[in-house]
Amino acid sequence: MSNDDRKTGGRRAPFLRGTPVGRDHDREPDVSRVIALIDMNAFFAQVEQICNPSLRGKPLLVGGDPKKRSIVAAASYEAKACGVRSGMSYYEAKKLCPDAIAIEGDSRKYLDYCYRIVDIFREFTDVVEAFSIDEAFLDLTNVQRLFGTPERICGCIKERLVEDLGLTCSVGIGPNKLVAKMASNMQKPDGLTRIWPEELPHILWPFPVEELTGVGRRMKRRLARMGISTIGDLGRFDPAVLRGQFGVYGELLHQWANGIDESPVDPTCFQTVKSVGHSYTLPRDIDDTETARWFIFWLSDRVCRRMRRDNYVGRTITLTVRNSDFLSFTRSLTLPEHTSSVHTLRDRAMLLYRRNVPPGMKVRLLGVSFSHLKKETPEQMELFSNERQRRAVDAAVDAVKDKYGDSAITFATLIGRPRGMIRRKIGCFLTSSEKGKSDSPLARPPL
Amino acid sequence: MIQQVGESIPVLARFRDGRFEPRKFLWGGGVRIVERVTGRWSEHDGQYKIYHFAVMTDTGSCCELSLHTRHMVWLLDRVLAAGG
Repeated sequence: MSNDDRKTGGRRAPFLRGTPVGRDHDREPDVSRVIALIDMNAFFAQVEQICNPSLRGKPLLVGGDPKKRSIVAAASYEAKACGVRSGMSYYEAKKLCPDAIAIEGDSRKYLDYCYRIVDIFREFTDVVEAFSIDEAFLDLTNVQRLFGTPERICGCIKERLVEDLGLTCSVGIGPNKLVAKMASNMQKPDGLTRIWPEELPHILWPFPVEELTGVGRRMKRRLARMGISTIGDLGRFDPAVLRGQFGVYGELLHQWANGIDESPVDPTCFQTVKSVGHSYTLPRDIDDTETARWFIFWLSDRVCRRMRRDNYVGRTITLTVRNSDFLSFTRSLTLPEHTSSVHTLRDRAMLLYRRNVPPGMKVRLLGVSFSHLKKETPEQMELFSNERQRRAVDAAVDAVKDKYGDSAITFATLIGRPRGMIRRKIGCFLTSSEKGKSDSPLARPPL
Repeated sequence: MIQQVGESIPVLARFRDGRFEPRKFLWGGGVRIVERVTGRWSEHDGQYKIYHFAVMTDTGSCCELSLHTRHMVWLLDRVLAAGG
């Protein structure tokens, strides 16, 4: 077995075996893997249009408070037709689409709808992996005898989503997660696309290489220098050369371009928390350390509250800063011991801030996070230490918050908040591996 | 077109089949009749729960109401006027 074959388990892309090309949707239930990716189209905008029918058919921008500077978290397809994309500032979006209606999103609303969507998926298969708040992989391999072909199952799911929630989605079906994801992007909105293994070269290979999951702007430039501009170019390229250029990642890229992806649909993968963080776009740029300290304390309090609630302690602290030119950087440090102390997080994050933010730099966004997490285990503590007192205070504060809500009690320092600087809701970022926190759909027990 | 309100309001609600939903409410000196519940969601606030409803009223506006079970108070959170 060659080195390549060892790394791919001896498997090659099925279409390279010379299988005849063609479509046959009436064939017998397939015994090989069948994966579906269901993508809720313009999810936040759709939910707002359901709740307020007068918004239907209109260009809609959903994000932070439109009266303050915020970014677009989701745009309706009517707004997308004008060139609006998620992540743009409201200002940019309004320039492209002056008639667009901007409304403040409500993450609680979207999360609740997400729970109900996942509940519908679980009526058809228990192997559901939430990829993000609006996308999920479903493993349909073992449920075809119960519910019929993958197209039929996904058709039923689409009907249920419309009937029960009024939502449309795009579905991609393929032999693995990679192909399902790419298939879901082919018909938007409200599409259903299946790619058979033998169709992969005809369908995927003509696409630009940046359409391949895992190829970003920098990788695209590096591949272009090697004469690779399409997925087909990458799939036909010598994997040894790719490995020489990009290491193991080059080999993976070659496999992905050939439609090979053996990663399982893992219903538990998001229950493994790797980091916990919060970030906040400030209503106006700040350049003074005291205000930054207030926000870092405020964010640290929220991060540590979640850490304690889920019984985690962390070692690595990361500070994220975005300046007024939208340039972002992160700086990290690792502690000698794991902790969930808000004071440690705040103080170390401030240390990073002082070391890395030059005086006078206008700061637009701040974020703090803990990573290198582990579950807190009972350990012998010193009887008369500050740590023991701190934990007792934390436990009492958490008990009050558990009963009366997170706003019931806070640090005295955080009561005198900077004037006009706090919105009602806090931005929260989830790392790809952190989406299984307790309010994630997949943190709920399966039906 | 979006008015943040946040006022406590009297609401007449119907409880049926294990669910409840607002039917009428008093705001701005008049009774608003709920013609349709267009959306519903909920969240936890400590050990209590907040139930949210998006409703279309007889005046053609979309309103978001919430019931806070801690104080058993209905709030009119925001009014999204028709038309844009």
